[in-house]
Amino acid sequence: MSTKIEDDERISSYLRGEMSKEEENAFKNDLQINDDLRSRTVAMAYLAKAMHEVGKAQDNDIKEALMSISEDDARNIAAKAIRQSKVRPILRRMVRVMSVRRPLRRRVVRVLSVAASVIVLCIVGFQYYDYKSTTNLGEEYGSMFVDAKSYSRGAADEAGKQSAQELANLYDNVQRRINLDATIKRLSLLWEISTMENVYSYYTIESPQIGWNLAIACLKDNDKKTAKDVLIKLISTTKKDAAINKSARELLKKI
Amino acid sequence: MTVQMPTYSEKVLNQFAEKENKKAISYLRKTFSLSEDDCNDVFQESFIVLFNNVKNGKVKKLTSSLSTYFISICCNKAHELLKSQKRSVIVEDEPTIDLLNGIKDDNVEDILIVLDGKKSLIEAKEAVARQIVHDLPEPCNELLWGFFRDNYSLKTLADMLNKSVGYVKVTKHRCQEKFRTRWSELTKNLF
Repeated sequence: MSTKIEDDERISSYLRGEMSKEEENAFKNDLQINDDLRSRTVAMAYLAKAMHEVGKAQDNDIKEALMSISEDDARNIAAKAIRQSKVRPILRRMVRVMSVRRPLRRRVVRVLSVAASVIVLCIVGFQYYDYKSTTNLGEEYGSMFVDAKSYSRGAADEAGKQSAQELANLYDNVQRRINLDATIKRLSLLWEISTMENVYSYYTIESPQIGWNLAIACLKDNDKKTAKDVLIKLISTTKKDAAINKSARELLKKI
Repeated sequence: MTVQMPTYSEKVLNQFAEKENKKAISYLRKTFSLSEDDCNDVFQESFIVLFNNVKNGKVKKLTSSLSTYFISICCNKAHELLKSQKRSVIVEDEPTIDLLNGIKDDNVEDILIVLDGKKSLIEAKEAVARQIVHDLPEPCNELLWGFFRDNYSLKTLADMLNKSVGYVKVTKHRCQEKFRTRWSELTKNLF
C-alpha cells in the first residue's frame, strides 16, 4: 500500500503543478508504461475537476445567499453555528445523564416524549394531504409502460444484457417502491447520461423509459419539483405523438 | 404558535457556517493555541468580514474556494488577536489563497485529453464524477473536498479533523480508491 500512497502523492503533485521539469517527464514516462498508475491518475483528474466545478457552484450559492441577508442576519447565523457547536457536547452529556435510570428523570423524559409526539402528529397531519395526493399520482401513472422484460431482448453482448437487467431491476424497484433513494440516484445519473448529445451507451435507446420511471419514482418519493423537471425534459426530447410524450404532458398538468 | 421556516438562503448559510465553525475552531485551537472563547470570537468576526467582503464585491474574482478564503480570514484575525495580547505563534503551514497553489486546470485537462480520448465521453464521465462527489460518505467527504477543492495540505487537514497526518494520508488514499472503483463501475458501459 505504501507504494500506492507514494503514487498518490506523485499524482497530486503533478495535478497541483508542483513537479520539477525532470520529475514531470519521469511521471509522464511512467504513465505510458504503468496501467495502474494511468488509471488512478485519470480517476483523480476527474475527481479534481468534479470537485472544482461542483464546489464553485456551491460557493456561488453561498455568495448569493450572503448578498441577500443583512449584517444582523450574518451575526445571528455565526452565533447560531457557535451555539450549536457548544450544544452538541452538552446534548451528549444530557443523553448520558438521562440514560441513568432514575424515576424522576424517566417521568420527565416520558412527558417530553408525549409532547414531542403530539407536535410531530400535528405537523405530519398537516402535510399528509399534499403527500398523499403526490404519491397517489405516482401510483396511478406508475403502472403505465411497464414492460421490463422487453429491454433484455435486443441486447446482444454481455454488457448490454447487464445494463438491460439493471434497468429491469430499477423499474421493478420503482413499481414496488423498494429502495427508492438509491433507485432515484441511479436513474438520475442514467437519465443525465442517456440524454447527453453525442454520447452513446446501452442506456441511450432507453432514455424515455428511464425518464418516465425517474419521474414516477420522484412522485412516489413526494418530490414534485424533480418530477416536473424530468417530465419537461422528457416532453422536449420525445416525439409529440409518442404515447410516453402524451402521458408525460397529462401527468405534468396534474402535478 | 407559528413556525418560522428558514429561507433557502438561511439554510445554505447555516450549513456553511456550521461546517466552517467545526473546521475553524479545531484548526485555530491547534495552530494558534487559542482558548475556546477566543476561537469563537475569531470565528464570529471573520464571518462578518466575509459577509462584508462579499457585499462589497471583493470576492468576485476569487480563485480559491470560499472555505479556504474564510479560513485565511480566521488566520488573519487570530494573528491580530495574538498581537493585541502581545503573543505570537509561528505557523508553518497556513492555508493560503495564493494563485500559485492548488490543482492546475491545464494539467487536469492534459490528463483527460491525452489519456482518456473522446471529448463527448469525457463530458459523460465528468457528469458521473460530479454525481459521486455530491454525496460522499464521511470521512471521505471532508478529506477529499479539503484536499482537492480547498487545497489544504495533509497537515492542515489533520489539524482541522483533529487526527494525525498518517491517518489523513491513508484515509485519503482509501477514499480515492473508493471513488475510482465507483466511478469506473458507473462509466464502464459508456461508449
